[in-house]
Amino acid sequence: MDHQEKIARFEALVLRHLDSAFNLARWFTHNDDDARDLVQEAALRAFKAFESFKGNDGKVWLLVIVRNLFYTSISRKPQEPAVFDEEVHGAGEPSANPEVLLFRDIESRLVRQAIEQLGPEFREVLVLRELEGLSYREIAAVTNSPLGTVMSRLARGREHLRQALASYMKGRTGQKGNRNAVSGK
Amino acid sequence: MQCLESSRIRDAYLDGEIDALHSVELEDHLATCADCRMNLESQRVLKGLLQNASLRFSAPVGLQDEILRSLTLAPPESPVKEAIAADRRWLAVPAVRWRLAAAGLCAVLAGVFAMLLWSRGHAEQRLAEQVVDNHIRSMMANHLADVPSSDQHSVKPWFNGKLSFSPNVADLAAKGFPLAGGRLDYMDNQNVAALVYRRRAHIINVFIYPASGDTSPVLTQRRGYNLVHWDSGGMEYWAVSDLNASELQELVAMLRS
Repeated sequence: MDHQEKIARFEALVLRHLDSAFNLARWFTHNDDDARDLVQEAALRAFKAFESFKGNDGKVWLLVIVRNLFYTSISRKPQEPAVFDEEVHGAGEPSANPEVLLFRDIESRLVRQAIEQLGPEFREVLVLRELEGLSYREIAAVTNSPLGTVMSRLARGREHLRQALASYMKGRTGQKGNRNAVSGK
Repeated sequence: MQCLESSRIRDAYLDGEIDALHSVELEDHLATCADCRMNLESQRVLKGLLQNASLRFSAPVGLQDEILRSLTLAPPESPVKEAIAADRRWLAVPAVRWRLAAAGLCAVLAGVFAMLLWSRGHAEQRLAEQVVDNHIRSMMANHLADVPSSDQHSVKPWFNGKLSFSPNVADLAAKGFPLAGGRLDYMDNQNVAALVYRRRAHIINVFIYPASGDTSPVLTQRRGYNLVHWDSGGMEYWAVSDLNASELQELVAMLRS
């Protein structure tokens, strides 16, 4: 394959998923500069290894490289997810369903914060599922985990997220109520 | 369906990763369970929040061009690329990597070869030990021969049906090594033929069993006994005795002829 031809193929099959690669890298690194470096290095590696790329799913392939590079190059291990403190966040009460109303007008800034605060393993699968739209099977491939692990992490990640947001929103409306009460005096 | 199972498949249901059967089962359960229904509702709203486009980061403008430029400027085959890579990471230079790989491979092969030699030598020593053990036992137990005969025509057939091979049996009485008999013995995890010869007051055991290969006789000493080991004609031979080495080799030469 001619070099220019190779670049063109690489662009069409792999590089067009650059946004996905950047999104995952950004959620990994928490800042733009590191994410940019990570994606650049991953793209170069992907290009070097492009001869060995057999499949037709360039997105999963590129995301695998981004993820591996993040965890290996900086000798970072996939951390154990942070223990979710049930007492602080409160167990979800299944009584009425005020949550649906609470969540209706939540700002995406708060959702983002809540995702940031999830354990990395939960954050990863949620980002791949909800923001990248990957199937369970594709997530399993990217994270190199069994399908069952992907499913349980998604479920637990969502549950943690729901509880964190619910308790935050309740706290906020509670404060509002108090302030009103004070000002009403 | 119980609530526990319902919560287990709830996410797959939300994500459209569930088969029709489970989907129907879950819906049946939801129709009767308010808690699970509420939980699903919350998660559905949450899912909607997560899919808010503003949560997804996009690659910065210009990043793609930057990457493409670096790919165009530095094709992996070009010397320029190698020079740049050498500056930063000499390991990334293919030539160095190949050389290292080759050196590594050589080292590994040398190691494997040494291991093979060592384990061969080791096996040989282990066999020699067994040969000497068998020889000593044959004299101690008063069980030198199962078939005490100097007639090769009765010794050779005696092995039939006792071994999966038929050893050559030669009577060398005319040359000063009378056949004393044959015996079934065991070494190297198999039944072997043992031929017993005499030379004056000395006993000579010759162990025979099938093997591939063709090696010239090798003389060794072990615990005061002389041993000669060789392969020929698809058989492995060990001759062992307290007889002096030169006379033992004389017998070996006759057995090989």
